[in-house]
Order: sequence, then C-alpha cells, then structure tokens
Amino acid sequence: MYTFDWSGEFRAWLARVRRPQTWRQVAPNVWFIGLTSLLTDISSEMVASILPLYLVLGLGLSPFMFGVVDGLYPGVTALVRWGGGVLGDRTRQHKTLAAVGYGISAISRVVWLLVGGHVTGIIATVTADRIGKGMRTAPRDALISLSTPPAGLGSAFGVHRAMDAAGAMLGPLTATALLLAAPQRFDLVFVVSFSLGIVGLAVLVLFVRTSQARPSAAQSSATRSPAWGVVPRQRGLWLTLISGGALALVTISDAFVYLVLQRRGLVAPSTIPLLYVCTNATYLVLAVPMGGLADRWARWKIFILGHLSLAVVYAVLLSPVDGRGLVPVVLVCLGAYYAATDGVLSAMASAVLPGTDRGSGLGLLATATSLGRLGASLIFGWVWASWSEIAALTMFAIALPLVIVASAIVLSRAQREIMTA
Amino acid sequence: MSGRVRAFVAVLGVAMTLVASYAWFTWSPSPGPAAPATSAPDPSETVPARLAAMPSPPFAMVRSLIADDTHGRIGVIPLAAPAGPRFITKLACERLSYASGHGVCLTLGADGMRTSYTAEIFDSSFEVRGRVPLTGVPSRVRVSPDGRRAGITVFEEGHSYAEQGYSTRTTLIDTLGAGTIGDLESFAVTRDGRPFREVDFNFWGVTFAKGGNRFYATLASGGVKYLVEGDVDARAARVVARDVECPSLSPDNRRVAYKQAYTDARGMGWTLHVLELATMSDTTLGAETRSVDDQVEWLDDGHVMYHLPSSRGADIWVMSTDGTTPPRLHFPLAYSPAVVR
Repeated sequence: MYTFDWSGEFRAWLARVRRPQTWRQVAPNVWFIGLTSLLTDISSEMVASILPLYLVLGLGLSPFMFGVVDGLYPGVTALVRWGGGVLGDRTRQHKTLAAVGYGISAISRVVWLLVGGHVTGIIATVTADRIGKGMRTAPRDALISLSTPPAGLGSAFGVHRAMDAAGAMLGPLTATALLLAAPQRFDLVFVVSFSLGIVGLAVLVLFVRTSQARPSAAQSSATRSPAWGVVPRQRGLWLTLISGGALALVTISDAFVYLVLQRRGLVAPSTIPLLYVCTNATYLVLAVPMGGLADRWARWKIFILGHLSLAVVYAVLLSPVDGRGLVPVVLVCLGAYYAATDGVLSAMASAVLPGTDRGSGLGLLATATSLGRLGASLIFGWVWASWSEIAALTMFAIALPLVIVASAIVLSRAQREIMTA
Repeated sequence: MSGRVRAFVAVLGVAMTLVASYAWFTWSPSPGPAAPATSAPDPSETVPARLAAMPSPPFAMVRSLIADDTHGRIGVIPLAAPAGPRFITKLACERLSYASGHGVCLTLGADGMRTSYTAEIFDSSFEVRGRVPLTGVPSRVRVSPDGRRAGITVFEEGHSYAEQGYSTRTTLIDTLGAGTIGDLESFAVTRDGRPFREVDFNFWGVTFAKGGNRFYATLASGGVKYLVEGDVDARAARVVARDVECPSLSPDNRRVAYKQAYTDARGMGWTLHVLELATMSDTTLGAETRSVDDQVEWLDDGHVMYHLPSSRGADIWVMSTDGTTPPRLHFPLAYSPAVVR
C-alpha cells in the first residue's frame, strides 16, 4: 500500500529551503555591530521624524536651517566618511572611531533639549549629528569585514543592512507612539532617543571586539607607499569604485521616484512617508537572502541584478500604462535594488582590500557613491527644470542600461583578476 | 565576558532609569512645563483672566497658551486691553487666521500611527463649516481681507532634491466652497518680464490685498528668496524684490513688513523690515534686537505684531514701524494673532 510520508517530505523540503543558512554563520561581532546600528537608527530616525513637528509647532520656527546644513552637508559628510576610514586604518582603532561617531550622534539628541529655539545652536546640533554619522560609516564597515571570512562577506553585510533598515522603520513608529501617549512632549522623545543611542553605544563598546585580522608588520611595511592608508592602490578596488560611482551617477534618488509617482497621480502627497516604509520593508526582508546569494553565486552578478531591478523602476515610471498596481511594483523593485546593491558593494570592495586598507578603501567607496548620487540628483533636477520630467527620466533610463553593461564587463574582469591572483 | 554583560545591564538600567525619572519629574497633565509662578512675576508670568462672553470688535484672535485645559484654543482679546481678560472659544488650533466672518484653523490629528493635518474653516460663531486635508506640518495661514480665500503653507519631507531637505507647499483655498484653488507651484511666474521656472521652487507666506485677488508671497529658488506679487484669478505671479521672507501687507496695502535672514557674531537669525511698495524704500526695524522668525500681523498701519518664544510658550510683541521705538510685550501667552477691526 502506498503511503505518503507527509512529515518526512516536509522535513526534506524544509532542509532544502533552509540549507543555505548563511545568516547562522555570521560572526557574533557582526550581530553586535548590527544591534548597535539598529538601536542608533531607532534613536536617529525617531528624532528625524518629529523634527519638523518640533521645530514648526513646538518652537514656532521654520525648518530652513536644514537648507543651510544640507547646502554644506553632502560634500562635507562625503569627505568625513573617507577621513573616518583613513584614521581607522592609520590608528588601527576602527572600533574607537566608530564609538566616537556613535557617541557624537547620541549626545546630539540631548543637546536638542538645551539649544531650544536658538537657530545657531540648532544648526550646530544637526551638523554634529551628521558628522558623527559620516565618521562612523567606514570604520563600522571595516569592523564588519574584518570580523568575517572572505566567503561570508555578503551575508555579513546583508545581516547588518537588514538590522539597520529595521531600526530605520522602528524609529518613526516609536516616536509616534510616544507622542500619542504624551502629546506635545518632544522633550521625552529626545530623552528616549538619547538613551537608546547610549545603549547602542554600550553594545559596541562592550561586545564588539577589535578584529584580529592584521597582516604581519613586515608585509605591510614592505608594500607601503607614502600615501598608505589614504588612497589604497588595489586595482580591484578602483574597478569596483569606478563601477559603483558610475552607477550611482545614473541612480535617481528615492525622493524623485516618489515625486514622479505623485505627479502621475498614482499616490497622494500625504502617503509619501508610507512609500519610504514599504521600500524599507522590502529592503529589510531581502537584504539577508541577497547577501547569501551573492556569496554563493557571484557578488558582482547580484550587484548588476540589483541595478536591473532599478532599470525596471525607470521603465515603470516611463510606461504609458496607468494604474495604482504600478506602485507596489516600483516599491518592491526599489527595495530589491537596495538589498542587492548596498551591502553587496561593501562586500565586493572588502574582498579586494587587504585588512590594513579596509577603512580607507570602504571610506573612499562611500565617498564616491555619495558624490555620485549627489551628482545624479543635480543632473536630474537640472534636466527636469530645463526640459521636462519625461526628458530627465528618459535620459536616466537610457544611461542606466549602458552603464550596467559597462560595469558588468569591468566587474567580471576584476573578478577574474581576483580569482587568478 | 560576564563582566561585560554586567556592565551592559548597568548601562541599560541607567538608561531606563533616566527615561523613567525624566518622565516622572517633568510630567504634568497639561502640555508644556507648568512652572508655578513665584514672587515678582514679569508681565508674561501673570495668567490673564477670562471673559464670560465674546467681546465686540476691535479685537484679536490668538492661539491662547494659558497652561490649563484650554491650552491651544482660540482666545479673543479686546484691543483696548491687550493684557487683560480674554474670551476662550471651543476651537483649538496650531495656527489661525480670520477676516470678514471667515476663519481658518490649522489642526493636528492622529490617523492611525500617523499624524494628520487639517485646515478647518470656521465662521464667526466658531462653528466648523468645512475641512481641507493638508499634506504636511502647518506653518503659515492667512485669510484674505474679504474672507473668501486663504493661503496655507505646510512643510513636507522628501520632496526636494537635496535628499534630506524639507520643502514647502503653499496652497490657496476657497473658504466659501471649502475647496482648493491651486498650488502656487502651478502658477506662471515671471522675472524681469521673462518666464521663470525651476524645479527647486518653494513658496511660503501668502498675504492678500484688499480685494482678495492680488497677493504677495515668498518664492525661494537657488538660495535666493524673492518677493512675488500674484494674481489668483490669472494664476500668475511676478518677482518684485529679493531677500524678502514671509511678507505681510499693511491694512492700507501701502507697505509690506517681512523678515530678512542675517548671519553675524550673534549667530543666525531674522530681522524685521518694512518695504514701502510705491517707492520700494526699505526700513530696518532695528529696535527689535532679538531674532524674529514669524510672518508679522499688523496691529494698525503703524504697528506690527510678532511672537517671541518664552519659558512658558510664546508671547506676542508689538513694535512701531518707525524703527526706533522699543518693542513692548502686547498679548502675553499668545501666538498666531489675527486682528479684527
């Protein structure tokens, strides 16, 4: 008599699905760094989400000091990112630098209470927070990569980015819940945010170990140029950096994507915060699987696939078809783009960098991609203003596939070099 | 390792104690820290008494900031006794404006886990006659002198091209039909007679002229703040001056009071100016040395009113437009005034 072993079949299926338990192999150090990022992101996003409300209704100010800060901001933090990485390499104190960066941001939360409506004080507080954020990025990524064997870099960055995205989603919810329980008590939001920031900092200081991956002194001193630790010279890094920077230059910012959706009448202006949440949720869900896939298959292929997902976003934005069904397609593709590119790019760069150059290399990469994105926004805005929204979209939709093909060629070559080296 | 765990538990405990004790010691049933008045209070420390009935004009409607259960409601203060008793209405607003029997009250509400913003249109008995949903944090509102239109400015996030910037949206509404007339960004703007259009356009701070059709507003583009003069029916506006923010037309429509940003040894802030429209001659109201971030309201053709933050919320100050007479406290514990003559 034929019997079907349900439980056996199910267990076999489960084993098949769960076999690549990549996230289980991720080092405790990475989980702790992820936890620090999660807590810090809740802390910073809860403040960011209530700042307009606090400044405009709580203090009766106009939030245009952000215009002042953002005017200086993109260029400045881009350079601070690089500087943080360089300092981390030179001093070999990635953990200390990351801690200082997290600490500055945490303290800035409580400073909000002290500056009150003082405009100069507010600008200084925002600037300090952003410098702290820029400063910690490269040392933190260096710590992640130094705690992880080369084969697991994709998963490690995937886990970190997922935790980061989770924090970014929980922050605004925490702030709203607090303000519902205690209306108009912005001060309470700052105090809770500060406490979460300090707990995040404690996780980093107490549980994250300084990585042991240091090459021998003889090896490093022999290959040092006078500019060591400032501009790494690995060919693989430069190829990754050029591809990453070029792709960033043809990437439309989220804000523009949502604005186009809004102008096509597909979403109401008031739902824009919700669009950020949906994109972030997709990112959160896909970051770990994409990282694992990148490790098992090929990182550059996942990275390229992610940009193809972005190309789908452009195609949908340009498509003559109308309908609210397009909105979820755009949000899922945008989330998938982030999941397949952000952590994977850091993993690709880490794989080609010696341990002593991780900070400066990752810092340089962060600087290149953020300058690329800034350039993309300026170009997109300029074409939009000079011609039209459709012209700007069309230009980016033509340029993106071309840059994707060029990057695929460059990255596959770089990959071959790493394999043969 | 157990030492580290213990240290972490200690940090966690300190952090939680900090939050709990802060919440405990600053808790008060009404919004805003209610410090008990001590000896020799300054004028803003005395709590104005209440009027039992609505006064007759001239009066000012304000957002009353008396720290009790009426906090945030519209208060009506006779102009003859600005620091005297006020009548408290049933309507609560974050910002308000009122003219010729039509008022607009900008409010906050909760919509699930999100904050929602609404413009409530009310009549002379403070009954809400219509609602217009808003897309961001309400900042400025002005009703036209004839009462039939209003201009509302809100702050929105994630809508500008510096990724993290804030942007403004200024919408004109029809107070009679409770509908939207249009977003100022859809108006045709000219500068020096030529079409002027940029993606980074931001409008804020509308002020209407007597007929309710002509208006002034601020237009920011490329870091410059322009004064534009607009025409509602023609859906058009033209640039008339630079470095003007939050204009406010005088009751006789001859002058515009506005704020101008400065950066100096004191830091950053705004000073008030008055522009004579016929001659374009400008006067700095230097008698006020503190930074004023407000769209002023004219008390009469020779005096402007604006808010300054205080330890208990905000007060309305008044200053002569001669530029030399020192400002004085006018309405204590009040915000967002609208004068009804």
